[in-house]
Amino acid sequence: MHNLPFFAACAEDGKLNLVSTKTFEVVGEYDHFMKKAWSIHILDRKLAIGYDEGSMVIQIGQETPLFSFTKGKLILCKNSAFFTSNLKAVLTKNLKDFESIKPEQKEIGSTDLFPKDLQHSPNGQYFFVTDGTEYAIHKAQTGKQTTFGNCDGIVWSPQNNLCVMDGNHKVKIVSPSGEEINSLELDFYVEKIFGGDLLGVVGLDFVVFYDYDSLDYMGKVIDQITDIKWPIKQDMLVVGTPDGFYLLEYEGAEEEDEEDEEEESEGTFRVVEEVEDRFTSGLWVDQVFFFLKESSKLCLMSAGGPMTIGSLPYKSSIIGYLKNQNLFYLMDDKGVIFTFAFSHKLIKTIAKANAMIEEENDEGLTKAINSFKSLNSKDYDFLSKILSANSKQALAFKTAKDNQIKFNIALSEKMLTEAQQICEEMDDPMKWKRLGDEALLAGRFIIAKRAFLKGEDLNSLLMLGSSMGDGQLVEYVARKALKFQHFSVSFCAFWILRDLENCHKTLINSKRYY
Amino acid sequence: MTRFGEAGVFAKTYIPSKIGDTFTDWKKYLDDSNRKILHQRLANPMEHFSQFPELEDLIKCGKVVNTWLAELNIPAYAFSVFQGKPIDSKNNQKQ
Repeated sequence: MHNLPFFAACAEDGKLNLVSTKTFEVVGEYDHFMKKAWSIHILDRKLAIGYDEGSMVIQIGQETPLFSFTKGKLILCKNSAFFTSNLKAVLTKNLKDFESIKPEQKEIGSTDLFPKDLQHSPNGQYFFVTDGTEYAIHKAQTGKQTTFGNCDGIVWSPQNNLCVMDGNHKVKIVSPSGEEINSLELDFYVEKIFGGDLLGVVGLDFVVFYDYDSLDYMGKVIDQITDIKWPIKQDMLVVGTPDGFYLLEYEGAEEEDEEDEEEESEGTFRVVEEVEDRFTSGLWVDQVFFFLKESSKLCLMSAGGPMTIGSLPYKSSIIGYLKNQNLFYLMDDKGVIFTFAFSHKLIKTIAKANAMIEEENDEGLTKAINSFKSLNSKDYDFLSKILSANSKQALAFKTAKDNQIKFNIALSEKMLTEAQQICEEMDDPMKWKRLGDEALLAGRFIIAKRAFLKGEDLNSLLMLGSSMGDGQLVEYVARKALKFQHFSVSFCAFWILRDLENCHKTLINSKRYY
Repeated sequence: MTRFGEAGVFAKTYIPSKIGDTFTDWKKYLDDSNRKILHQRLANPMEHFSQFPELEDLIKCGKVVNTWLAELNIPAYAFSVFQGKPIDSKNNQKQ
């Protein structure tokens, strides 16, 4: 089969066989119960079979290549061959967001397995591949296989050891050279395991966390778990569920207290944020969690909830983030790699700001924002968005550099004098009108008058002038309206002024323009 | 759409001296836009005093009333006095 280490065969027995081209063993046997099969055709990864009683198209595997990324090194697995690329060597000058890049690729070997997962060890020296029943460890530099074994699930521990799920009741800790270090028997059915700061063992509707060295019980979260993401050395984690995800804070190991185990375990993790949106791909950069929504929006978790930072043109997943390039690397479902620029300084600032908002430390927050002077104006605007989402409007106003954003904040916060200043700078009639409406609502008539005059909002001016008994203003409106051919306004204004001659004149004049 | 009709009624109600002007303008407009029949049907009351016996009085009255009103120059807040309510002190200051 095209690109895949299989060939497919069908025959009059109505069965479809997939045979490995390496070992010549039958790896898959399928019966679709449509009697005799007569024809077969392949296109990319789609297989079409014509049976007596109908035809069928099957998609085999996913088109997204498997990848793992660590310390600037990317390993791609295409059809059981490994390729490495050094993303640090990518020329990032004049790189546009979402522009596809083609890093140099070097083939470093292949595997006998049909890979379903691929992951670097935390120190980047090794990587594993697994097909769901077996695993193999390779050296990241040379691609050489060092060891292999059976597993139902496998993850790395931060100490660069392997946690191997063996059957559904046992987890082993194995060194990369193959020695078994420790093992853990579990009295529940293990669905999956996750790595990270603590070993997460997922049961049907809960996850139990264990320490890697001692395999001590560390805590438990009760929910259906689909994904767990740990940042490096932070007491935070993200737990994905079918309905959304939680941001949890890990409050240290639980003291052994056998009486109240249930209650204690729930106290170990504190829910910081709950998001009702699933993520398809997630990544921690420092203390900030970035994720892709199903709608292909790249978001980050700020203290006020998710904030969208960019909309991706294709369905993608996050490869990683390189701090000194200030770039996110992403891959779409066709395997094309592209980048998205996001300043690392900004991430650091956001992390600090998040922490300060969490502590409700306003002084610290101001300091954190002010300590980063060399951000570009776009970044300031983004910070301002986060701040305003956390109802720190005054600070958000100070942080923002863009007049448009400043104006919106000022208006929403009824900081009318500030808004007026911005209007004077920008002199946009639409803005003047909005300012006028807000000023009117707030009862600031002088600002309202100035804004309507500037924005030439004659209807509002007429209303304002007539209610305030400002004859001069009404006369101004009347003349202006006549000039702009707003005859009804003009008539109304003259009428209020009891200027009958002009009222009459307005009516006569109306003919020329209707 | 023109507003000569409205202008005519307005003039008759408030400034009868303008009735003649309204019709002159209206007729000129109809003439310019080639609407001969309408033009012929429209009679300027000022040229047909006999058909509008009250018109002369109306114009006189209008002049008198308008001069009188202009001389009076009643401020808006006087309305509350007219209604028998005391004058709002705030409004008074503004005036």
